[in-house]
Amino acid sequence: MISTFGGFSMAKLGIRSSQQGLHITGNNITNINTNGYTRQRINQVSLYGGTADRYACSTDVRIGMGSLVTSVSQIRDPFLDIRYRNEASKVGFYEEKLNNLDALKAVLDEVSKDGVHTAFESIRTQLNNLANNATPENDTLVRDACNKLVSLLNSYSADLSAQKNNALQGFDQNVGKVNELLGNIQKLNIEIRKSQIHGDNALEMIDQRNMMIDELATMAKIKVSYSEEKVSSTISVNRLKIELDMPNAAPGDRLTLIDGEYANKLEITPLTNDGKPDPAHTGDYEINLGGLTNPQGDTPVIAAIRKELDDLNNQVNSLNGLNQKFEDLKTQRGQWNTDLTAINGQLGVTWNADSFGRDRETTLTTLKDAVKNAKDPAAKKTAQDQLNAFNKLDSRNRELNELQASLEKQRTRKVDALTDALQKQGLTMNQTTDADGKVTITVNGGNLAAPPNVTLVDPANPTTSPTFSVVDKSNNNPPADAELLLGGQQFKTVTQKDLNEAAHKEPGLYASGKMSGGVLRADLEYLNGQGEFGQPTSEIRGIAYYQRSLDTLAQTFAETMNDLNKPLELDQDGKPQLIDPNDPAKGYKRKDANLFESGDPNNTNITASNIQISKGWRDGSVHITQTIDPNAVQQGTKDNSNVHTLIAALNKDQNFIAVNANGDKITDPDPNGGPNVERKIFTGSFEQMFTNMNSVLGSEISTSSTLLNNFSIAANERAIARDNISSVDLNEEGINLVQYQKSFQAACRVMTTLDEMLQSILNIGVGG
Amino acid sequence: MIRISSAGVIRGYRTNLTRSRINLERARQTASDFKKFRSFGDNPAAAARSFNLIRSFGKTDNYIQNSKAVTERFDQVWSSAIEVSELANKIDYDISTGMNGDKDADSRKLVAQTIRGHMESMVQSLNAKYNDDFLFGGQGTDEAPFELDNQYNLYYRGVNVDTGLTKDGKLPAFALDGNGNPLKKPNGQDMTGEDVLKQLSEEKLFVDIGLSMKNETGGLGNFNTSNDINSASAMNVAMPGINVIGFGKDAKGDPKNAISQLRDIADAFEQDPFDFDGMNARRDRFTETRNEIRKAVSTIDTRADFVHSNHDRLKQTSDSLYTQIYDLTEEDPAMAFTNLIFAQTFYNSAIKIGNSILDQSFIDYMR
Repeated sequence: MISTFGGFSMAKLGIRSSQQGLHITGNNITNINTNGYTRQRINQVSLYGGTADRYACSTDVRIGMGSLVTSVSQIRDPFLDIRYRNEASKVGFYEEKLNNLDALKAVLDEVSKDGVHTAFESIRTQLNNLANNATPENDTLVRDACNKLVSLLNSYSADLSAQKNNALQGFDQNVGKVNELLGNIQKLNIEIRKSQIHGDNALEMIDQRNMMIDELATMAKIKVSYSEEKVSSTISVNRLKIELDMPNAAPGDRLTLIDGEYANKLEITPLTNDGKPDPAHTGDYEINLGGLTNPQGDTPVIAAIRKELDDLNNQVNSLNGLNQKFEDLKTQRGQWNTDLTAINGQLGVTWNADSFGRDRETTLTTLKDAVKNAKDPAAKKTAQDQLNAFNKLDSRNRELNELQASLEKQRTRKVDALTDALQKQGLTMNQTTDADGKVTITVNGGNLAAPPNVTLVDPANPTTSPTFSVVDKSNNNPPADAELLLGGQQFKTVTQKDLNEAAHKEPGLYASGKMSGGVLRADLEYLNGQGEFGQPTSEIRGIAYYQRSLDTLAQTFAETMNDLNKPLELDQDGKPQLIDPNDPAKGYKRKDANLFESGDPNNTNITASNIQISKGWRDGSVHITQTIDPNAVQQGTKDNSNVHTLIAALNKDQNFIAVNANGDKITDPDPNGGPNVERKIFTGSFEQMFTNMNSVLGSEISTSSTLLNNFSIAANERAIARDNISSVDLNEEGINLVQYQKSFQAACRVMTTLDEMLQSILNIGVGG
Repeated sequence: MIRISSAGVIRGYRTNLTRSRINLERARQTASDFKKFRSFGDNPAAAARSFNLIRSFGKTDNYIQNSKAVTERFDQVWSSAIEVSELANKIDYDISTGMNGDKDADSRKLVAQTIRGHMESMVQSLNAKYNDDFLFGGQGTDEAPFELDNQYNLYYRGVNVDTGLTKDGKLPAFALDGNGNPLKKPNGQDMTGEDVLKQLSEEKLFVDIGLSMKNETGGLGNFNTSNDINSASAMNVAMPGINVIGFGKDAKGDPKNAISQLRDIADAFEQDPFDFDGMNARRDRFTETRNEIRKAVSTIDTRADFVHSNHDRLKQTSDSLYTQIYDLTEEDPAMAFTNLIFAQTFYNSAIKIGNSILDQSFIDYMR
């Protein structure tokens, strides 16, 4: 049966539950527009007082004792979170890819503007004019038309370089953003853990963390998991783990970005001296994982080692403290002996240590009998005084004995624990105990050099024990193994490989394909993708593909026109010279008369950035070669066959050989074992080459746009589904308000009813 | 759907409204510039095709300009050739008058002078220019192709039209090798003056008027000389004057060109006694040459007609290309405006819905 005031407790619990329900409902309503807020509910259980008592009455009925709010929880579907984040990484990837491609489109796309296509048309028109009317003015017009093309190629090349620099800056910012997110999630993890240890679910911080994880999911393809971390026998907390979701990776092989209080860090290579990505780098840019570290900068292995070594140091200090206690005990025993001697003198007795030990019962019985049998008051007083003194000394002696036993137990336990802890570090312990119970401990083993024995605990020097420490050298330049030290002496190492593996330190996430989605992957593909110009070739076409395409176009155009413009070489009489006077079929000698050249004194290869009208053509010493017909040259006629050759070169298919960033032609091994062959990437006219570049870009934009649209729709649907589960609905909260309000009223009514009942009971027998 | 929340409703509405707004903006843009696409990304296939068409349109425009220039040139050539032909006819009349029996030596001398005057007029016509080019200079140089010396010998591009040799009786420099010896023909024999004249008469100068200029051997390769160009694939505008008035000598050693024949006729008129039979024979040869001149004029006429009709064909091609480009790139205005109206209507509907997107809830009805 419930107690008299048990009913009041029950009503009080009901009032409190209703009140908390109203608070939660109010919290939900006020946070209806808070971004990322997940609606909360109280978890209420019925309080029950336990099983049957030993002396319970068989006719008694067990009734509950009210309601209890055990916790507050969020209504959230983690599966929807997974689905949303999967879509978010795709949205992030295609959105960033589309942004990057749009920047390229602004430079190269000529649907709505005049550019390279118009320039080629102009060159063709002016060459036709020159073919029809070979005058210096028309030659100048051809040169002007070519200059327009050259300027456009220079301009596009410069714009693409600027785009690359912008993309690098954007990439650097995105990596910084990811590191910031990882750092913030790490801090939240620590705070959430602390709160949960102290019994607070930290739901608001969990909401904040979820928003950051959503943002992180757009930056890279991640996998989020939770595990239970047992902090003590009764307390468990949630531990968050975020890994890179790598395609076809086994669970144990995934790289960790966040694991509880450990966070990884992304690093870009290569960097300039001021820590920014190097814009002059022509190879691939990479993201490396710098390794999991806690806020103190320790990797998990180092943190665990540091904890073990701190524990060892504590144990050593504890043993030093114990030695001190043994020393104190010795002092106290000394004092006791002094007191015993004094008492012996005062009372005229001859007690010794045995009197309080082996002979204690006999001595005590004798003293008690003496008191009992004493006839006169003086003898009785003397006997009593002796008994009292004996009891006092005996009590003190027993205290000291108990203290000694306790200290010895502690010593045994501590020494055993220290032995185990030292063995774990590969060290062997030697122990000696002196007559006072103090221990001296030396250690050897591991990598300890001479002297092999290190005195760890020395009763003579309790404050100067050598300490255990760890030095992590894996981030030094050059990196080295971590060292475990005892008093500055290295006794053990941990290899970089083990440290890096445990810390998920990993270079080259792009090359290995481990960074498989999200904004960062899009940035890396844009910066690194060389498509048909790569070694080996790939389907990924980034800014480098378009830069190399432009360079290939410029170089092929310039080389073709220069080659076709070579006039006949004349002797001093103005006659064309045969290559072999004995074999006229070999034709006539031709000399260089370049129309185009490289404007870079350090690079003779022509690229889009350095192509320029040749000095000879600019100063008039070189012209368009009208004819290479030896008859026409000798007679000085206006034969225009070579101009038609130049026009034909504009119209006919050319073989475009891929070039690298320096303008060198790319070659591949010959499958038949011969010399390397040049890599042909396109066959068509110059204009078709440029149109092809735009077609490739246009197709990429069109595809990315379609996919982005699709994935955005899917992500939006997931987000709406998630909102429908976890966001606040005013209807529900309104009903909850009414419900909790009524239950609050009802609980108060129970309270008043009980109060009236009690009053009735109290009034029993009163009055008359 | 088990549950709907305000946040879910707002998120969906916001997305749909944004999409509607984007569609409206696209429709507005199309209605203002009537472009079906503004970049390769909007429609890669159509954009690539449009650039191919624009390229063809540009080439066709070049051909049209070339064709126009050729037409004007041929008009001038024909006009000058007619002048030469008419002069030849007039001279024939003068010859027949001079052969009349009642003419005395002085009268015949007058005829000879008249003939010589006409010869100079004929040479002037043959040295006619169009812009900076001599019309009858073959491939052309900066100097007048024809020259009459004091003895009324005719030279074309520095070589005698009868012998093919220079004024100092040698082969021209272009027919000699580096050692001053005559070049060898493909059959191994030395070049002669006749070969020089033949080479000059076969000079070509091509203009591309959209007949798919190509090599003699087929394909579009390098043209080392104009002879490498397939003559059916381009318009040869070279008109060596010696093809109009004739060149070289016949089997009997008599000159075949009209000027040299007239020189001989004029010399014969000045002979005393007058050789009537000899003059008849000379006159017959001159009559043949006059016929050849008429044939040359007719050939020029035919070629000019061809250029005219080709010009018309090119115009049609150009119009067709323009239509194709227009159809590919330009949006039909009616369609553009219709789409704009639809997009505007959808957007307005979406906005109207927005006012009532957040329904009343239970809380609104609580006391």
